[in-house]
Amino acid sequence: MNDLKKVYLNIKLSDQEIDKSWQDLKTKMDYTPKISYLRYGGAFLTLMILFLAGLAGLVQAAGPATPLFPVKVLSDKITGKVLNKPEIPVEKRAQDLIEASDPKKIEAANQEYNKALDEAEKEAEKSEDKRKRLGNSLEKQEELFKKEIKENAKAEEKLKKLLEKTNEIKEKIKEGRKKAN
Amino acid sequence: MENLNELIQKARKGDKDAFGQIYKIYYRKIYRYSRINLNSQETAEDLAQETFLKAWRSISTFSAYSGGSLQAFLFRIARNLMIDLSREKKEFPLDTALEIESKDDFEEDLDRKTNIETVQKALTKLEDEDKQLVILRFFEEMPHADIAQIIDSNEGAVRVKLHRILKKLKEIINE
Repeated sequence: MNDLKKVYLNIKLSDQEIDKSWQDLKTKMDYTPKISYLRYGGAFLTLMILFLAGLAGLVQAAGPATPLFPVKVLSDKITGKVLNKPEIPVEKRAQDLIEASDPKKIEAANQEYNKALDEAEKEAEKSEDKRKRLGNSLEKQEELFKKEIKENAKAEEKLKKLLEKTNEIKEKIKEGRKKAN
Repeated sequence: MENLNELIQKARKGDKDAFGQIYKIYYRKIYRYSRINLNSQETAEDLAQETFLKAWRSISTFSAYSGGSLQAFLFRIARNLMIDLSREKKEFPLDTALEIESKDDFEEDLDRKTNIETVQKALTKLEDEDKQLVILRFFEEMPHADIAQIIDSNEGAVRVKLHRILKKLKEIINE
């Protein structure tokens, strides 16, 4: 063992070699913080993007009467405002309503659809283009609701009143367009 | 020369010259530890340097190193780098051929390498962790507490393992 230890301790480097190695390391140390910050910054950014993407996915998947549903409603409202398309929130809420199955969810989806419809109607009054787009969208929704009622007897109960309201707003918009022209 | 604690405090505040003094105190030890575990001198030098680069980047966390010594801190980094290297490059086993260098230093180098290889061959009969324990305890004469930190164990376990390794070594020598 002592012989092995002697050989081990005899593994040496000269002072010059150590100095040279230190000078070499010193240059790498100069650049370290920048690289390090970039690396950590990049990693942080990636994590944030993944987190936000995950959150956005969760929000979009949220159904009526769930904690994230109000966030989803707000996010669709903002999208409608930013893209200047008032029909977007109405279409999204209509989809929620078609997908909703239990009474609690139907009630929540119902309320939000009504609100979205009223808000879209007000917004559509501002321009002919918006009226046109919302009118077309409501026509499509009407067909969608009718199709759903035809395919699913249970859906009639939850969609009948909304179908009436959709039709009512659609007619109002038609009237508005006629007057404008 | 300033005492080690002062050098550590200065290095933690970003003083490169203080870190340079630490480098000069420990580089030989880290190099020979790397050299005995790796086959190539160049790789050992690179690994020793990388150890200090990592230490520089993480020296601010050193005070939180559960009361450990700087020596244990550096050896632990080196050991982890060696583990990473062995995972990345399976072509670095200790029993491969000698590397080729310039003719002028050939004889001297051959002598040195033959000696290193003798130690390496004796140690290859041990499991990797046992080999590290022999190097750190019997060659480097480190305290059990430092060894425990390097191999991520506790002092009691290190003592028991060393006792067992000594028995094993006697058997190997008597074979």
